Amino acid sequence: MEEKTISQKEKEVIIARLEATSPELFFSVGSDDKSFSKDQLIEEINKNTEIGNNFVKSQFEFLRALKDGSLMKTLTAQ
Amino acid sequence: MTRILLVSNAHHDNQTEYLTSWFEKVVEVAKKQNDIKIIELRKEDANRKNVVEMIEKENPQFIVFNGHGSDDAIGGFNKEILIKCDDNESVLSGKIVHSMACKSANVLGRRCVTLGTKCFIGYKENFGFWSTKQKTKEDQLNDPMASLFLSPAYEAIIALVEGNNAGDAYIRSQNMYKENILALITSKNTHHNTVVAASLNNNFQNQVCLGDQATSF
Repeated sequence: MEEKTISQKEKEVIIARLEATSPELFFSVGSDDKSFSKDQLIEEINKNTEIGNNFVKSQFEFLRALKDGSLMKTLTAQ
Repeated sequence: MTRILLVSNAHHDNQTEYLTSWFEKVVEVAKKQNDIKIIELRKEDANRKNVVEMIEKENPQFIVFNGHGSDDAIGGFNKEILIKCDDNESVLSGKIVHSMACKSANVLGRRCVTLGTKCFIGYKENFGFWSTKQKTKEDQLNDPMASLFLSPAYEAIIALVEGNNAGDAYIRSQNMYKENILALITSKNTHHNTVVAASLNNNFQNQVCLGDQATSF
């Protein structure tokens, strides 16, 4: 299956959301030794790195699941 | 009979230091069980030679890997490959495995179960967490942001140590993920935004329990 390309608009949405995140928080992921500040994550997104692209994808998966109701259905299922 | 848990704590960067610190929660629960011996390989000791030797010598029933990884491998100190597909994955035959190594459940976990690993709990995509990047063990354990991510992840290990079967351990972990995601979505705390919730949801969706759900430690 061909992977969906991330649009500029999608990046901008996630960057705007990241900008509203506390500067005290850091994100650790993958095999990278460093923990990313929000500014570093924004840089990764702008540079189209694997970390940046995966971050945008997972954020949008969440937003779409929140929007279509499937997330709340999953979270509240017994 | 003594139950033996072998843990590899890579402990070479801030992420893996957090994982080591949080393993303390498992140690506390294990002490109450009275029949568990924990063998820890930490930092330089978390290397391939030691891991394989300890598995052969001590015959642990449960093995926990806290380090980096990939689809087909689990890493130790400084990312030295400990277990790899088409190489030495058969050493995990007959064991229960919990791996925090990113993506390792995707290919390696499935292969291990095919080759006789009783159960493999891990993540088929990247495992990520937000934290306030604390330096000391105490501060890492008291980091409320990291707790939202590491509590549910460690819940599976703790449940196994307490004697639950793998399927129930996985459900306990998944339920805690759900509670924490809901808490983030509904929280008024400005640190608890949906960016963080989305990252936690990613771990929740990608955690898998492969193999025999009825097996226990």
